Amino acid sequence: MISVRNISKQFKDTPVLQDVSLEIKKGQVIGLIGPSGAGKSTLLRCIVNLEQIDSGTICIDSKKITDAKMQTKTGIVFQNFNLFPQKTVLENITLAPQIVNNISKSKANQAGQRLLAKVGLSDKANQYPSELSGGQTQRVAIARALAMNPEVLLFDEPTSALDPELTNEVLSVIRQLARDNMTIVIASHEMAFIRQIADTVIFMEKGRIVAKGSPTDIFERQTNVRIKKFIQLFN
Amino acid sequence: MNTLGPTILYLLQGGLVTFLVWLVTVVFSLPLAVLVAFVRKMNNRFVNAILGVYTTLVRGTPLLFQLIFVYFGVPIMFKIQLSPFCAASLAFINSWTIYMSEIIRGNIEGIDKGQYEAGKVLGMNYFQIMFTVIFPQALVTALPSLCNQAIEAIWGTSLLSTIGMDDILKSARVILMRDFSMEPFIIAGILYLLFNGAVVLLFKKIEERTSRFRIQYTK
Repeated sequence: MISVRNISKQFKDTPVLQDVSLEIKKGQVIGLIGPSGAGKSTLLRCIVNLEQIDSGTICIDSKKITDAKMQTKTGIVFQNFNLFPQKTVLENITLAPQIVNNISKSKANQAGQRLLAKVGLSDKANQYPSELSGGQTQRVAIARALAMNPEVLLFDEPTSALDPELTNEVLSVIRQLARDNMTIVIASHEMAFIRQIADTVIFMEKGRIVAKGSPTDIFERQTNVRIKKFIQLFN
Repeated sequence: MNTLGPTILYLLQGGLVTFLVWLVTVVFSLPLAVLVAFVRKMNNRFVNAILGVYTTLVRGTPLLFQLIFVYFGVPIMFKIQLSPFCAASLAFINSWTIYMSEIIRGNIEGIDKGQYEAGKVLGMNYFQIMFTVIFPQALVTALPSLCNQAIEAIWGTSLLSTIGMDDILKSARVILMRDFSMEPFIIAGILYLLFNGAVVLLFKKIEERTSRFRIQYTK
């Protein structure tokens, strides 16, 4: 469905992605792991067209993602949420469907309420983001991304800005999405979680994909010393 | 003390002039300032160069100079007639638009870039992001500075008498000359204070109402 072919990217003189290729199939759950600065975030940001690639192509159903109409095929949940603070929870979710897809307010609200129920926050519809906990904020961000019906949802370290006790409520929402057959790519340091929900795990380092395989391949039958060490660091 | 009633009435008439010029200034210059800030954010080199020079001219000359320039100079240049009220409004709106656009521009820079990105990945175009996401937040963070500007605009009206308008200050001076008493000045001072207090209170209310979304996400 999404094919990333031989993409490279540099920030000034520092290469952040070097010849990265990746196929994302419908319903797949891909876990991206690797040390900070490995290029996980940049890869995700390239797929949602927030960063321009220097070479290579990224296509969704063989159409290039740089086309403006392709923007909503992908959705992303950011590490630091980026909810719109001046809008209520429900307005955060319904804004884009209304002004981008021209859906009527009442329909957008209905859909928004359904999504809020899905992330377990129906009672927060009229609150402002400043009144929510970090975990609730991130769940709203997930609902907001889902409101545009993306074909793939990317998560850029969705729990890294959260206290440990708030992490689980976000992870369980993501787990539910994976069960519902949503196509997901998630960059995270939550190794146990990645191992549990991903069907493919990718290890990145220094802008390259170093290893790719099933969770068992990566986490248990790992022969690469560097990857082994990295995984142990988090267990 | 039987002159107190008419004095207050006379000063209130001056107050109406002051208030109207102030109101026109604030009501027109705020949206215009948003527009100018938006145009500058488009980063068109040519347009920005012109606006940069214009900003320098406006900020580089006193308001009194601009007021006299618009009232006496503009009619000569364009062969039109301007009433004092029109001239004052034009000069004030022009000046406040430039000052406030700089404030709003500065506050736009202060909005986290994640806000823009969040809009973009949801499929919004540049205009939609600016007007539904960025500007509302920039205006909220700009409120304290905009309040200062609104107060400055009251003080600016004290120049109105130079083009023959009877504002609070001018009215007070007229009675002072006639009666040789301090009363009108004291009343004028009180009127200024009340006006100022009302503006401050208004902004305080707006700040309170917007306080629940005055947060900036930090990493």
